[in-house]
Amino acid sequence: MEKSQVGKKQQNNEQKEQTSDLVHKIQQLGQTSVAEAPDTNIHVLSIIGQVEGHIQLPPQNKTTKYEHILPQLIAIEQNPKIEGLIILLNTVGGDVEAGLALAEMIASLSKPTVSIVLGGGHSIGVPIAVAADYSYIVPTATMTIHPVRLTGLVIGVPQTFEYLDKMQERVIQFVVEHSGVKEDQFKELMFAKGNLTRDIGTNIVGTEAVKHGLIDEVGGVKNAMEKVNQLINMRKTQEVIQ
Amino acid sequence: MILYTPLSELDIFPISETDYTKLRSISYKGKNIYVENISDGNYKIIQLISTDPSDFLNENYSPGTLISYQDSNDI
Repeated sequence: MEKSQVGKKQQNNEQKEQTSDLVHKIQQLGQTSVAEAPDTNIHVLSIIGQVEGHIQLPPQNKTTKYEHILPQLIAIEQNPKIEGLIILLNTVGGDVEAGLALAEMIASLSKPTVSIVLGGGHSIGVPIAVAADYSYIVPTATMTIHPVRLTGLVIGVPQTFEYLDKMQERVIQFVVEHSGVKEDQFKELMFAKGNLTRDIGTNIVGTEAVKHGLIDEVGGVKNAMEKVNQLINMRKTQEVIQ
Repeated sequence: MILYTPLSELDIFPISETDYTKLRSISYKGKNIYVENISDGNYKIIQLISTDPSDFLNENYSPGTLISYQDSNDI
């Protein structure tokens, strides 16, 4: 008799859990079931908000922490089931060193990578976007190219200026090496006057970024998926020949 | 209220220590997730950190899901 009561209690508890689960799902997602997908051979890396580096930003900022991304990139390189990577970018920029670290990691992956700039790929988002094997930008996305600075205030110490100047040179070199843009042209965009209110630099929109050679093509998810599959197939046939 | 000031917002409204500690990254069922400590013995999932798109369809990791302290292993 006791046993059956205990059994009933357990059943009741389980039922309660199930219903609360269901209520919860409706509260959070507005639906009861979520689509399930088979294992995918293409992984997605989203770089959103600010690129967070050495300094922890206040919690209300949306950030992408490079200490999270770097191990993921290693895992992608290592896992034989993963054949390609799509990088989604919607970033306002952030820590230059962290951004360059991400860009170098993406550029040195052996697996095909395709990036899509959505919304914005500003500042240090530019090297990250061009680091991929092939880059796309949606027509409405913008990219701000501007010199490296700390806060936008005038730098008073020559050593600081030289340090930032060297850092800027690294960014320029990386972008020039990984995209179709010429160094002179990129510098011209970076130091242009009159485009940004009371600041130097340029804000370029989708098709302009392609025109300057910074980004390979205007396109969205469909194009990026096709491209990454095409690159995967090319890599496979190369391996067969070898 | 409108404040006209050259100071940054954070100088006027500093972030409290508890805000920093409320959010934490933990490992849950083998995945790294960002959770908010809602201090009733549960964590609320804020963000899943993964590159596998199918993880985002897994309802166990959907944002807002509550998980108890026992189910999670801190990292």
